[in-house]
Amino acid sequence: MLLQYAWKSFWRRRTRSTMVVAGVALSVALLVAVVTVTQSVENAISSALAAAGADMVVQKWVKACPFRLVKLPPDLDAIDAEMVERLREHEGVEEASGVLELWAFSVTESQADALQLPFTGDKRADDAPAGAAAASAAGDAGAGRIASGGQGLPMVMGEDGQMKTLQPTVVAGIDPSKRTIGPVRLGKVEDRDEEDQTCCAVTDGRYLHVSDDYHAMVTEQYAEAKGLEVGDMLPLGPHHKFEVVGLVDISGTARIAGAEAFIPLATAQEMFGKGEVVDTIFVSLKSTRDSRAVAEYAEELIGEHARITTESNVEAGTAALASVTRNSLLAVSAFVLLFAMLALVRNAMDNVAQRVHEVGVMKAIGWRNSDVGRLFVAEAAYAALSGGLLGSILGSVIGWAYGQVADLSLPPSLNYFPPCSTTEAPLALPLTTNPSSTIFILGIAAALIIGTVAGLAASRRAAQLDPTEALRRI
Amino acid sequence: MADEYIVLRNVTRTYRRSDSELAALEDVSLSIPEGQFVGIVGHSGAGKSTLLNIIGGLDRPSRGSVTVGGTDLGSLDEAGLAVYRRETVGFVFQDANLVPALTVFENVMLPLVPLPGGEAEKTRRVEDALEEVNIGHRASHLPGELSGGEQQRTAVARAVVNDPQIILADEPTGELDSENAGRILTLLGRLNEQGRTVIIASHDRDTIAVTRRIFRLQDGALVSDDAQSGQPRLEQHATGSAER
Repeated sequence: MLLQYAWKSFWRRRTRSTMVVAGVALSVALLVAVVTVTQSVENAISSALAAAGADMVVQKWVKACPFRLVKLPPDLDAIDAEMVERLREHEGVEEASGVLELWAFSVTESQADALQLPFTGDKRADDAPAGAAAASAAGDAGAGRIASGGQGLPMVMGEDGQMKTLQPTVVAGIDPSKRTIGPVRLGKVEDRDEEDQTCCAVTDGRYLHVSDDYHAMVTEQYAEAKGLEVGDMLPLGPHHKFEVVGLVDISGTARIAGAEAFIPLATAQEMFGKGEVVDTIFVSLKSTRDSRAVAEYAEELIGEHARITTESNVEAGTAALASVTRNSLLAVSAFVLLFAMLALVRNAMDNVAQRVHEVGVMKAIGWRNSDVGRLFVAEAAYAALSGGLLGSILGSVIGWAYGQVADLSLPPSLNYFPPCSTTEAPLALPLTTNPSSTIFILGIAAALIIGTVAGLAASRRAAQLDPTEALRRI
Repeated sequence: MADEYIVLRNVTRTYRRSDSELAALEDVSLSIPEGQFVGIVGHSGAGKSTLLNIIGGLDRPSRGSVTVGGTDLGSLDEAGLAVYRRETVGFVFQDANLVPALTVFENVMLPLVPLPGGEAEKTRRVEDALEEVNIGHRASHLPGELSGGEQQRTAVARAVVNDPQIILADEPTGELDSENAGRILTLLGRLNEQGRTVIIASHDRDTIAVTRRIFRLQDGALVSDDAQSGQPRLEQHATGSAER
C-alpha cells in the first residue's frame, strides 16, 4: 500500500516527475548507447577472425618488399605448404588451411615490355625493394615510360600518354575442397545464417570446384568496379586469364580474411612460381584454451619473423584506436551519471523541502521515520525506474542507429590492400549493434542505483525533520 | 487510577532562542479522566498547541513527565512515540493539513498506509470514517476542490480512521464560518459521546464552551481548571445535519 501511495505521489506531481525522469533517461541513454557501441566494436574485432573461420592466423613477415608483377603483399613471406600439414597434426588444432594471397598486376604487352621484368621467379626482382626495382625497370625501359609511384607501386605510361599507378588485384589462392575454413566462409545465399553477420555468400554463379584451375570468384565490389559478370574473363598477372564463375559478398567479413578475387590454391602457387607455398595459414582450434600452445608451436615451425594473429592480437592492434574512444566515452558517461545522481539527490532534497508540512502530517498521524523514509525511497525508485527504462530504450535505439551508419576502421597494420584498391573501405569492420538485454538491464540497474542513493538522502533528510517544526511550516 | 487517563506532572517546555530560553509551558500539572471532553483556552502564545503536542507525543517536555493510559511517554523512543500517535491519538489541525496531491479518500487512508492488513479492511474503515463525518460523496475529490468545512471534516475523518482513544483538536474551527464550525464541534462532541477523550485547544471562548472542562493557560502556566456543570453548549453552534 505504501508503494501505491508512493506511485500516486510520483504520478500526480507530473511536472517534477517528468523533469526527473527526463534527466535520468538522458543519462542512462548515454551510458547504454556508449556501452552498446563499445560492445559492438569489441564484437567486430572478435569477428575479424570469426569471419575467417579461424581462431588463429599464422603468417611470416619480412622487411623487404620486392616488386614483381605477381607478388606477395607487402611484408608477407612465403611459407612451405608442408607447414599446414604439420600444424594440422597438433593436438590442439581442429583444422588448418593454407592460403596464398598475391598481388597480381595486369599490364598490357607494351607495358610489360617496358617493365622488362620476369613475371615469376625472378631472383633479381625479389632481392630489390619495390622503389629500386621500379627505378631499375625504368632505367632498363627508358626514361619517361616507367617510374616509381606512391606507396612503392610502379607507374607506367598509359595509352593516353599519361603516367598512372599500376594497381594490383588482391588474389587469394584457396583450397576449393574446404568451405568451413579459409579466407572466407562461403556458402550459397540460401544457406546463409541470418544471425551470423560475419558470414559471406556466393551471390551469383557458383563456388570453386576442386577440378577448377583458371577459374575465379570475385567480390561484388570488385566485379562492379571492373564491370565483371559471371562468365567474363579476368586477367590476373601478365599471362593468365581466369573465367569468373561466381560473385561473392564479403562485406560482412574482415579484411584479414578478404581478397578481391579467389582462385584455386594450386593455380596461385603456379602463378607465384615458388612451388607449394602459402603465405597465410588459418587455424581453427579445438578450444581457445589451446591458443597459447598452438601459437608457440606455430612460431617454432615458422621460425624467425613468425607472425601469429589471434583475437587478442587483433584487439591489441585496434586498442590504440578503440580504447581512447571507449575510455573517453565511458568517462563522459560516468560523469553524466554522476551529475544525474547529484541532480537526483538535489531534486529529492527539494522534494522533501517542499513537502515538509506533509512530512509533519505523516509523523503526526503515526508514520514512523522509517515509513516516511521508505516513501521517499520508493518515489525516487519510481523516477529512477521510469528514467532507466526510457533511457535504456533510447540508448539502445541510439546505439543501433549508430551501428547502421558507422564502421570500425582497423589499423593499417592489419591491412595490405593497395591504397587505391577497388574494394571500398577495406579497413572497415561492420558494427552490429543488436539490442542486448544485458546492456538494457545495466541501464536500469544504473538508474536504480542513483535513484536509491537519492531516495536514501531524501529519506535521511525527512527522518531528521522535527514534526512540530514541520507542521509549523507552510 | 482509572480516572487519571492523561497525567502531566510538572511539565515544562522551553525553547532556546539565541542566547535566551523561552518557556512555552511552565510547571504544568493536570490530569484528565478517560472519555472527558476538555477545552484548553488561552491567548495566542499561551502554550495551548505545545500542551497538545506534548500530550499527542509530537513533542517532549523539557522537564516533567507525561503519562497516558499508564504509559510514560518519556520512556518511548521515536518509533514508540510514532506507534503511540498511530494507535492512541488522532490530530485535527487548524488548517486541516490535507495532502493536496491526494483525494479525500486517500487522505483519510493515509494513517493506515504503513499498517499491515488487508486493503479491503482498510477501505471499509475509511468509508466508515467518511460516512461518520458525512463527506463520503466527496471521496474522489482533491482537497483543493473542497470547501473549508469539508476539508476540516475530512481531517476529522482522518483523525478517527484509526479509532484512537484521544482526539486532539488544535483550533479546529479557526478557519471556518460559524455554520461549519458548529458542524465540526458537533462531530467532536459525538466522538466524545462514543467514549473518546477529546481535547480542543482554542482561543475562542465559544468553541471551548462546548466542552465539559476547561483548562486556562496564560504565558505557559495553567491558571485555572474549571469543570462545567450540565450539558455542553453545543446547541450554540449546531445547525443542519450536524445537530444532535
